[in-house]
Amino acid sequence: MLLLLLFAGYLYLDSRAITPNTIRWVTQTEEDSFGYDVFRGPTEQGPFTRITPLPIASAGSTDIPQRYHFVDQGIEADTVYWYYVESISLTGRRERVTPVYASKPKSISWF
Amino acid sequence: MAAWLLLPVASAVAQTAFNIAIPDDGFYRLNFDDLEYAGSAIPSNELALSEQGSSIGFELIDGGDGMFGPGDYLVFAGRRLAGENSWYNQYSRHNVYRLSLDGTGAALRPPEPLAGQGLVVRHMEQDKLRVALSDAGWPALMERWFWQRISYLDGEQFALELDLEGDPERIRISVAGLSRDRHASKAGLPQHQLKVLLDGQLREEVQWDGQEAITVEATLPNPAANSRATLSLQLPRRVLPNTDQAIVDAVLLNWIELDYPEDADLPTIPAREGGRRLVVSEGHRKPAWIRPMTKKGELGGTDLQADYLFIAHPALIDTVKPLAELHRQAGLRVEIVDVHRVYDAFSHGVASPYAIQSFLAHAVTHWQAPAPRFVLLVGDASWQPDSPRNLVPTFQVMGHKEIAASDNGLVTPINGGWRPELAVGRLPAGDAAELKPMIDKLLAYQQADPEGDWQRRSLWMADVDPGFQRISNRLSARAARAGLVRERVYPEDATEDQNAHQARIQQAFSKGALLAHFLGHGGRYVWRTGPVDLQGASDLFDIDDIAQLPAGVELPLVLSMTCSSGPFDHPQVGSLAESFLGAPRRGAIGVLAASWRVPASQAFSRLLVDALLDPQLRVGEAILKAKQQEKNRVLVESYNYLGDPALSLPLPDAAQ
Repeated sequence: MLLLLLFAGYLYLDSRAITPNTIRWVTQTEEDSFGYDVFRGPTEQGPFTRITPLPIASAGSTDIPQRYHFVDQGIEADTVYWYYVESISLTGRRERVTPVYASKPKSISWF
Repeated sequence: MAAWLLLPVASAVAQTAFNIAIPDDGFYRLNFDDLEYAGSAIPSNELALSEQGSSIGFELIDGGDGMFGPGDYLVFAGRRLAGENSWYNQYSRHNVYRLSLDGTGAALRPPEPLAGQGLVVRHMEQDKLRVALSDAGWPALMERWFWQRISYLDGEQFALELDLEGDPERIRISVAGLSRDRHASKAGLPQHQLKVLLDGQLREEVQWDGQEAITVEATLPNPAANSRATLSLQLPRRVLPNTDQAIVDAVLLNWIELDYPEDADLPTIPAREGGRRLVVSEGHRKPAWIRPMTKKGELGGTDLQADYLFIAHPALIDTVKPLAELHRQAGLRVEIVDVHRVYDAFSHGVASPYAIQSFLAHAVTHWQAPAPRFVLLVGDASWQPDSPRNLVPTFQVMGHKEIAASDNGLVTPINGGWRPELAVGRLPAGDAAELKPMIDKLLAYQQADPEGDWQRRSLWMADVDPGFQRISNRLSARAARAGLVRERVYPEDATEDQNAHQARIQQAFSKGALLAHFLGHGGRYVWRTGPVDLQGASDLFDIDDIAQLPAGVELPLVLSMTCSSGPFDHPQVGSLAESFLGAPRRGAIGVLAASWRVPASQAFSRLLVDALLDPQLRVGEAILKAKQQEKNRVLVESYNYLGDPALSLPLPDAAQ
């Protein structure tokens, strides 16, 4: 059955701050959702590592847009990182819900 | 001086009757001075109190003069309105007791024994979270409100300071599984593991699977060492064997009960179900509200006749009158009915969609012929029963794994099934200011000269998905054969400029149209009309785009054939469908939209389009015909019509 459900993992990276990287994503609807994990890799092809110590708790089943974010503190200067977000359903199913996006390299601020 | 009275319910409730709403179990005090009663004191033996038509005893404090007047009051043991299988009722937070001032045949006796045998129980429950346990069987499925979701993701999980005065012997906790991690089952591990702690000490630990509800019991130290203790509920983080992945474990807390010795010195009332007594708060509570009962009308009689029933919240009646007058001038007999009169006549004053259903069943079967054909619900609804937006309630049905608002059940009056029998529409306004633009649009539309190119135009929208476009092509061809010009507004391919495509949609609406049909993915605020844009979200037509549409009277009837674009029952937020209908002088003249997830269905759209192009049918009748032929119950119940069901589309001559 094709449900006319719009699940949109609208992911974008907030690069306004110098450090760290903040990964943000927006959902239009969610069904049977438990949480989200964020993965990071050195290239677009990976390898990717989960960087959320615990999943980000989600809103469950909802048709109200939700905004989520995760702050990646563990980055190094002048390095491009690649990120994607994976959803975890209440049945334990994991699914990548965003494309892989690159961060802008951050330089060190000297005082 | 106190007098004990048990009075029979008056056979005919006079105008001097009051509805008294109470939210919970307890003792309630009703002061004479709180009644909106213009008369003088009433003979005490003419008072009668009832609940759902049954006499209720009460304690009367009338100063010993045998007259109920200023300064006097009565006290009664009130009980909450329970649900079918839940502590509280999902449709009303208030039970309603009725005080009649002209009762006869009083007999002195106490209201009911307040002491006696039976377990003494303190029930604690807060309905904060609405969840459908779609994998649970009945009756767990009928419990839809919970206190809190508990998982290892949720910080401190659950903690509550318990009052142990009275030395409770046992605690019982009702929880239901929410998650059902299949990986845990495959590894031979329980899907849920819950720990119950009191002041940090483990009291009980339980394991279970699925979405079943269980009751956890633990004994308490008796007598209690302290008058207060902290109850904690925790789900430990457990890892699947040979992985670094945690088991998905989430449960829902429903209620907590403390059991006391039978001789506990606590205020109690007998539980409705018998066999136990419920601890209630000390002293007398005030009713939530007191409202004079509406004048006894003829709704429950057989003399009335109407073609079209407006069921309206009283705050909206004046605003909707011009629409009623328009239909009267066109030959329909229209009756505007205050929804409170419906409650008073068909559910003993309790606000409930069942009262509307019963009223319509009565009108169809017992009023003078011809029976009503159209029903307009004037006012918004809310799944939160005490929301100020819950003006004319709707049903909450199980849609695709979740609960969906459905007006369909209100108009299934005779056969009791799920197929509608009357044409129904709703104007989901929260107040007169929201209703006025809807009425203005409906009046302008039906009074304007329909001649023009717009009445030949039909819009067909879909995203880049070839499947959606194929279905839209077939449907639009049917419209073309009926004499309509079809304008298909699809993105040409994945490279089309999003802004240009959104502008094409705006232009298509700006020219006016008889009908607009969208098929594709969507949500509460959006249609996906363009190629997927996960970074910029420029692929979405949303409520801001509706505000940008040009003003005019040549407004389309919108068929929003997508998920969740018309859930009109949220207490705080709106939806795409409500924005289309509520936008002043723009948007849509009516919207058919789903209140939850729905499958794509070419067949349902075809039934709708064919019926809407039948010049013999008004919009509500066309939707009714399509729903009566549709086989998928989820579609029939999830799609609701926001608009005037007696609206006639000004079809061009070729279509007539």
